[in-house]
Amino acid sequence: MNKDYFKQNKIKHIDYKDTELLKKFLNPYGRIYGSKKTGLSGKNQRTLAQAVKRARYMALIPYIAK
Amino acid sequence: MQNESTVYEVGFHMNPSLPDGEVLGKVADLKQAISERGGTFISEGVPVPYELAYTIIKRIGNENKRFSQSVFDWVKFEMDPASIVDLKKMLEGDTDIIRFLIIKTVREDTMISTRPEFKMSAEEGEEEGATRQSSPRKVEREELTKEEEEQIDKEIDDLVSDEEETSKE
Repeated sequence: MNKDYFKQNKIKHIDYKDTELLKKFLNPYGRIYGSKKTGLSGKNQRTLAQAVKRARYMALIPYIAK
Repeated sequence: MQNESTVYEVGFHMNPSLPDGEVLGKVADLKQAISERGGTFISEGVPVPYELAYTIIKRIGNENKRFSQSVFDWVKFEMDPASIVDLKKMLEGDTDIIRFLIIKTVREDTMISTRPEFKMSAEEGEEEGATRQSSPRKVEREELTKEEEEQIDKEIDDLVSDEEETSKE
């Protein structure tokens, strides 16, 4: 069983500026991995998705890579 | 109902052609604008030159200007929700700010200093179908014994010989 990365490391807030962290959850095309693959809880998966979308809007990470 | 203030964070990209002194001046102007609107400053980042992930097009005057680099900075502050609209309008009117984002956040620092290693689940493949198909094949191969293989070979030989006989007739 895969465990929630954010729960395990006691990370309460996912910052959109932390692109290095966000990139761990993106595939080479810049798409967010599904919760089956990330192992995140539903709540953290949604928070992650929001942070990624904010980072994309701010051009910190690309909408589409490759 | 009490009028409680909320913690906000504004992240913004500034025009990279601004001199260093003006960049700091812009941040100081923003902080002043926050305090003028009754906001309380909490924390701020350092202006960093940033290579953008894609080209941002900003309409300045009658011209569409393209930016692939910027100077990024952020400011965290506490403000009354009614005043944030006014601050947003001010930022929209500033031509030196290419893009900005106002978010609701928490007072604590949200950036983590150490990023522990993240291991992606190996059990779940990118395509579940592929893993499902591959597993039964392996089982079939394991189940076949030597005797069974010989029997199958014999059956194939018989079929081939039968076909040859019918073709001769």
